[in-house]
Amino acid sequence: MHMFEYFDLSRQGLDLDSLSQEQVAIDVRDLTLTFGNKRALHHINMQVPKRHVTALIGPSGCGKSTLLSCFNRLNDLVPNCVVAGEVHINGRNIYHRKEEVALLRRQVGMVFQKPNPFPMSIYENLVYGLKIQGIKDRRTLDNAVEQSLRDVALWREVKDRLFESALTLSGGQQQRLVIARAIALQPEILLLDEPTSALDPISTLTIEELITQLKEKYTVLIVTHNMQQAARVSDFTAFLHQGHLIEYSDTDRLFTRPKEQQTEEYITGRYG
Amino acid sequence: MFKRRFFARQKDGLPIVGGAALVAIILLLLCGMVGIMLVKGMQHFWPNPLYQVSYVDEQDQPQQMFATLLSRDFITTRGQKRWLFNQAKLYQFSDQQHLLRQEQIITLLALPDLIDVQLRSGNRLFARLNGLTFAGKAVDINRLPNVLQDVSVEVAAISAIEQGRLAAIHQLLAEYDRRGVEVDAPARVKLEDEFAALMAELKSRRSQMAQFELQLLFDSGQSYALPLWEVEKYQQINQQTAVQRFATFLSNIWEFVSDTPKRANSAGGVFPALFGTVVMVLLMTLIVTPLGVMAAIYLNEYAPENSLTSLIRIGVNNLAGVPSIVYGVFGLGFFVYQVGGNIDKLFFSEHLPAPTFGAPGIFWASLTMAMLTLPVVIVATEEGLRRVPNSLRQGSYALGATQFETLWRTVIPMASPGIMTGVILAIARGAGEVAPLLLVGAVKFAPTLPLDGEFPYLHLDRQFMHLGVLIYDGAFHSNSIGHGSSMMFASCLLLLLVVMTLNIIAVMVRSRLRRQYQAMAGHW
Ligand SMILES: Nc1ncnc2c1ncn2[C@@H]1O[C@H](COP(=O)(O)OP(=O)(O)OP(=O)(O)O)[C@@H](O)[C@H]1O
Ligand SMILES: [Mg+2]
Repeated sequence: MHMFEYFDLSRQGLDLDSLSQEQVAIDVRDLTLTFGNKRALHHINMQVPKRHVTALIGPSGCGKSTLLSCFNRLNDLVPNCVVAGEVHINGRNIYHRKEEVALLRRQVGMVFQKPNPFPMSIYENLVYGLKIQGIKDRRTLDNAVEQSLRDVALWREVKDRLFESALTLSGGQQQRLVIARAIALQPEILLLDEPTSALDPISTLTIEELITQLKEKYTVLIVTHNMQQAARVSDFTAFLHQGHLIEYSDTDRLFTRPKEQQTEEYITGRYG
Repeated sequence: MFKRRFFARQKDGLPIVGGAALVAIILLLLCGMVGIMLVKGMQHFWPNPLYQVSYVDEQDQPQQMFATLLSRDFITTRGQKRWLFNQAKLYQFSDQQHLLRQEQIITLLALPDLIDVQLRSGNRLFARLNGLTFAGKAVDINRLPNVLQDVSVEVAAISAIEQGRLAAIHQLLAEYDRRGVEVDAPARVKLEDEFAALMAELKSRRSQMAQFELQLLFDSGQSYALPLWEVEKYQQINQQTAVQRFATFLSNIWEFVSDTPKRANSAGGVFPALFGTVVMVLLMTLIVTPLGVMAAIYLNEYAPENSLTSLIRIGVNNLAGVPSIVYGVFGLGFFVYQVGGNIDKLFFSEHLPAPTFGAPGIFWASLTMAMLTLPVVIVATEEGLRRVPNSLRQGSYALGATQFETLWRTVIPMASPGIMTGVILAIARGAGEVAPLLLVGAVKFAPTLPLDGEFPYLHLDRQFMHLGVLIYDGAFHSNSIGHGSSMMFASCLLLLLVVMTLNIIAVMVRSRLRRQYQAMAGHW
């Protein structure tokens, strides 16, 4: 029942149209993206508010994942992907040619649709990013492991088996583990791409609770196909369609009084 | 309805039965091959009884010989069936084979006093044992084992003095000569005296030792006194119990794997070849693994997906089909003459014109074999890399890892079972190849090992012996029909064992890696 409490909390009087500089986590300016000669995103403009949960919804293939991975430049790995426009995080354009991508990815954590723990121990999974930064101090690593596991409510379940293979965890536990793995780097922003689509209802519920708690510390962007989920966990929702940002407003209004007809068709299930 | 199902089943069954039969045939062939090696090879070690053979020769003259019977139905090259005997005589460099028709044989007597003597010179002889004497006086023959033991200890002691103190004095005296030290300088005189004293001592010890003699009777009827110190070991096979024969069998096997070859590789052991094979294969593995893995990583992870890359890939695949002798010629022409020659010019010019690396040697052999097995490792590693799920790469990048860090920490460990598969295939191929080795460093007989206690321990420039080369040599250049070829089968068996052992080790490493990175088992 307490899920609906969060629903009410989401309205903190933030108005998307008049966000101050400090309230913006990601500022997307006229972002256009093409794969070869196929345009996947058209002139996207949006401001993602800090320490709130923002949901991206839209039909399959509309560009949600593509937009999400613009924010940590994971698209760089796609050979023929070209990005035009700007994305500002912490006041700097992350597509500036001097941007340090590895540094950016530590600030912007990402979790994928299917849990992808490395075939190592739970502990090694959690300290992977830290070790890459060159952190070797055992105490620091131990603390990071415990803190991040507590953040995702996994500590009690795994504290006695930290050195067992992460693959022995259940699917839901694995997904929480990879969220913890991202959190261990103390990012500012968390990108979640359909984090619950491979999970059972109970695990889904746990992760949803987790997301609503995470926003106390992090800015969360979540892609979801589940409209109820978007309504439950997010403060703001963006609706994408064929690479266009159709509508972006606070979740409550988007689901109760959508401005655009396409949005209404989609959320009422008449799309297609 | 029932009928239709029956036929449907049969239709299904046919390919299965056919496939199973094929597999069975293949298995049978494999077992047959190993079986022949096993039987023929083990024959080499099993002590055969010694016979006094009385027969009539082609001129109808009665003859006598001491021999072992190798086969009762040996088929000659002309298709005739013969009894095959093996005869060992004093001062004959190798055993001799005799083929007799059954009608020629009069008697075959396994006399209990027949003895098989192994000499320190490497020679071997069959004779009747007539007694043991010391300075012409008979000694209780039952003391022979103890006396031989004592004499052997004495021989070892004498040669220790010769190679130790005596050699040292000799060297010092030579040094004095070079420096022009006076002949009557006190230090020199003292040394000369010690030298003379030692020589005298050794002489008396030697002559004392030489008083022990084995009284033998040859098949010609001639008696002979053999100084006991010449004897390395002896066997009275006809007196041995089954248990003793088995012990002899085991000690023969041990001699085979631990001793050096004798009499032009037709007797003794094959230890240098075994050692050379293993060292060569290990060196090859050390070279080919990093090279192959790096090449595969470049092709799979870094190279852009264009036609040039796929051309390279096709090239690599075809490289696996190049006949091995071509690699041998390449190794000789490029590694030995070009690279080795230039290394000599640069670093070993003081030894020229005698080549150091400019001649065939174990390093060039390993390098050539590494080239030969490179494609296998590249292909298997690429396969392993391709099987690492992309989601893991993305996960690593998303945590701020660079491409290199992702490779090093995630992709390569997960591809390691694939890499090991490549290594296994490379070992199997590398241990069995002979043709290229003949050109780049393997020889019929090498006086030294490629790895010993002498600085720098691993002698990469040395030539080495190889089991495959030994077999090849034994198969084509052996003039003896029986013994040499049974040694060849034994060598084959050993080579199979070596390849299998190396493979089993690699397979065990791989299954450990697999267990560690079990993710491959379709977790994603
Ligand atoms: N690597 C790529 N190369 C070419 N086209 C791509 C690539 N990745 C995505 N696309 C295209 O870009 C468009 C957006 O894809 P994207 O994965 O962002 O959709 P999505 O909204 O996440 O869909 P889903 O809900 O099914 O995950 C699709 O039309 C897809 O075909
Ligand atoms: Mg997607």
